[in-house]
Amino acid sequence: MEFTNRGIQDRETVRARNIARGRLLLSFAVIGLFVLVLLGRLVYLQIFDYSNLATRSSQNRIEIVPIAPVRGRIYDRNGNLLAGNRTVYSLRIIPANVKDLDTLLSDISAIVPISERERQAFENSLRVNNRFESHILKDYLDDRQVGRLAVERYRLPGAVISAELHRNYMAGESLSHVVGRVSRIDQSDEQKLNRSRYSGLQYIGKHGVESFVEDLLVGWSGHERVETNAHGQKVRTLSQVLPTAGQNVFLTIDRDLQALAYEAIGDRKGALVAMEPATGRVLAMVSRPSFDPNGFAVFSQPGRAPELLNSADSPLINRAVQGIYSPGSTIKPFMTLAGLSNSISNPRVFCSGYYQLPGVKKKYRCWKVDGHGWVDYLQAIAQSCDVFYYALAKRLGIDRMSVALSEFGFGERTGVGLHNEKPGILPSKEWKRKAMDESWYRGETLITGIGQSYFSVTMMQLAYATSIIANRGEKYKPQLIHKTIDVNTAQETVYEPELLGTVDFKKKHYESVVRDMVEVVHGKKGTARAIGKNANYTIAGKTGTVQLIQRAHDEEWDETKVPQKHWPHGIFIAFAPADSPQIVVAVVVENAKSGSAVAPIARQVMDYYLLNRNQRELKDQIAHVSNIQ
Amino acid sequence: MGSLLRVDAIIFVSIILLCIASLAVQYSATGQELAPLLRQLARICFALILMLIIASIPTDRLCKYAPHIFIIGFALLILVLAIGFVGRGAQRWLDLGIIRFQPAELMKIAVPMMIAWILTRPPLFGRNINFIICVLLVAMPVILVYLQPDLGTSLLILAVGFYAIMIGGLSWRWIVAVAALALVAIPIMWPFLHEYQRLRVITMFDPWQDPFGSGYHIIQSMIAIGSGGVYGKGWLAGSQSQLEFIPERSTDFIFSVYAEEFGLLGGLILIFIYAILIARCLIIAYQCKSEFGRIVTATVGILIFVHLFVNVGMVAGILPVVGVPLPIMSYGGTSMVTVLVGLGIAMGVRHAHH
Repeated sequence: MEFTNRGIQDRETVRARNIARGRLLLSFAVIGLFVLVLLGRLVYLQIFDYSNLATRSSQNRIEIVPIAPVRGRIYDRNGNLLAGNRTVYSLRIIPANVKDLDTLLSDISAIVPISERERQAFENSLRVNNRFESHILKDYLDDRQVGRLAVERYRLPGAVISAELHRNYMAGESLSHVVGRVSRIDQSDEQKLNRSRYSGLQYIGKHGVESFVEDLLVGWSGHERVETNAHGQKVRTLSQVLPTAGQNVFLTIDRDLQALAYEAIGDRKGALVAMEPATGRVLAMVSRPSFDPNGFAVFSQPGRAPELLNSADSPLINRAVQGIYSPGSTIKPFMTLAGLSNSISNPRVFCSGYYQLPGVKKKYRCWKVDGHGWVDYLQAIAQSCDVFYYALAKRLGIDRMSVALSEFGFGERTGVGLHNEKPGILPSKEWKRKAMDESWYRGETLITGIGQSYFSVTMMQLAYATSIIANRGEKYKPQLIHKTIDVNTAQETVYEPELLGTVDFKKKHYESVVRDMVEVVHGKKGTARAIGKNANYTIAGKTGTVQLIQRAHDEEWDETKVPQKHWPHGIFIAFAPADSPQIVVAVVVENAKSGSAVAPIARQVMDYYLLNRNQRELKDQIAHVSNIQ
Repeated sequence: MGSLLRVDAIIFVSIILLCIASLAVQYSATGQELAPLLRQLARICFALILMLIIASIPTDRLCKYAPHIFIIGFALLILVLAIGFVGRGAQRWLDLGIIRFQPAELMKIAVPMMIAWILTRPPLFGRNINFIICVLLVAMPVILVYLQPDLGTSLLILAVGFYAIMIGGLSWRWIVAVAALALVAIPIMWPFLHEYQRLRVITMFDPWQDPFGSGYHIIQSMIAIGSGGVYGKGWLAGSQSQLEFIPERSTDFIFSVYAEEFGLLGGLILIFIYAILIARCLIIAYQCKSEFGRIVTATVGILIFVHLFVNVGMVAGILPVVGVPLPIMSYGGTSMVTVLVGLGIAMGVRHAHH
């Protein structure tokens, strides 16, 4: 009461009050106008620009992050791991979360060494990309570095350690060609592949089985929608589509047999294919020289790729399917079958050391200068008489020869399941016209009959053809994949042997040629008798010696005068046991001088497979029995 | 009772509504922490009590002490500047132990009071000279605050000071002349602005020019407001604020958080409450018989309006980013105390005439 009663001394004039009132009314209007501007702005943002800004708000917070599937593993037939995945750690920087980049980098390099190259790559990446994304600073941290960085992480804001799965090959160099390798997805891959399937993946199978069954191995990429905050940190997962892991693939290869064959060839160039004739399953496929398969999966480590690509020894070539060689005398069993099936039942030929076509002076020579004397099929194969086969080839003629030989798959790919397999050449009149636009000469028929001229084969083809003889006509498609296991459903898919057909020659003809081939190994004059001496089982085989340079008839073979790169290649084909074959081997060693010289390699492989395997199985059975007891 | 607690119901209810809204949004903006909320509640209580005390002081007594308040405020400004000069850095605060005090805030009320005090007594050297003295009294604190440097507050003091002079009866010729001068001053002052201040003005015109740099904050704020739509994303559910895309969420950008979570409807209601406060001040001034009360109350209304307009205009992307809080809503006590003290004066003025 006291305060109000006192009142306020009123000094103002009516005029001043009216002026003030007028201006207050004006203020009202102006303020009202400005408030309308504010409201208008809110209406614009929240109604007219709503969909745009709402989208931006979602984009702000929601990120779709691909989840790469785990690539299927590759095993051998016994479940030994050949290709797996290993976690590789890398150090990444998110610039938006870094206070002072220079300080951070110097702090980091005190813990792990950062090379000038890594720093350059990081700075380049920084220049072109968003500062809210992570940029790789150092790849392939070792365990100790990961540990030290993890401990120091609290004082390295903006630095993150990321983990990535990389391919890891554990079978060593012997399987590099068969298993193949993965490489970075490049532009040409990107145009071909299904983007959603591969999102988040950086590697794709490029060679060998890795490439051939890429579709099984790769799986399907998944993704998650994550909410991220302003600092790019994941707050929570909104939804998730899990990736589907690739299938595990089991090869028909026996890792240990493969390693043994690889060692047996030694430090020479060559190839070997071993297979089960009754199923077509490839037990070993070796190519030398080879390379370290892990050198390729690693992109930023100085790879050996350029060195390998430029090497004169071509280590990247899979000689078992890409290396084409003249079959030489290994063609002779097939020639015998061609003769027998064309009713040339038991010719006898006198070998005087050379053969001449009527009316032509040129002498077609036998490898044995003095000649073999009278020879029949048996002796011709056992002693590898060339003259006999010149005569046989002449009687058959090129047309009947090439028809019969084509039954064994010469001149076409076996389809074993590797890209870049070469078909080789089965010479014929038609082939020569197409390939060289020339007509066929009579003399060419003769040298085709001993596996020379244009004739070329791969060891895969030779093994396949030999398995047809071992099977007495049944053709099983060669295969490298034994089974696959879908890790998501645990479903197992076995690749059953595929009977392609039968080379319909008479059973007695097959038995006859098998007998001839047994004579090669076990006969007194057989060219491979050295390996037959103390064998516990019967081997059927055939040697082949492929001359690389022409020699005059009377010239002596003097090792010291001929450079090693001109020495003949040695080829050997074999199967055993001869009456119920379990394994077929075809092997070539370049510049080995003769087929006889490489036959021991096949023997080693067969010994291991037939003897050691039986022992292993026996042991398994004993273990099984003792378990039951 | 009525004589001791001189409360204007409309103003009081509006303030309480704003306080409730403030606490709700603070809770969301600070990541649902209780401790800062309690501190803010304490500030609200302190400011409300201060308001009621001020409301109970007779207006003529306020008028009497206006020059003292102004001189103290002015001295403190010089002190702050001196401390800042010694400490080599921006200085706005006086640390009084428990509370930190911003003399520039005091000047938002003290300057209009001083103007009103001068204009309510007979001019010593004629009307025109009187107005020139008033202009000087406004200009001096404005310059001191600008030197701190605090461009936003200095412009606010300039605005309320000039408005006080205008309500005091400055002739239209002068008003037009000052307005023209201000327009001319903008391009002249431009090179004297700090680099960051110029950048803020440029950013206002086109924030998308540098979306990850200078435009980032204002773009995120606009996205927050716009994505709220008509009904809002719901309390505690604004992704822009919860995921920390909005800068200074609990202080200068509190309106973005509010608009994102409560939408256009919430925004309209909030601005409506502020409009009631502003209108209430202007109506009290209109009805006021004392010149001092009229000038000060009208200026309080304008003070709230300028805060509202500059703050919301800033977060909505039509004004440059200047550090002007939204009164009562923003976290912190300084601007709230200033505004509630002003409203306390308005209540007192209203009561004197009923």
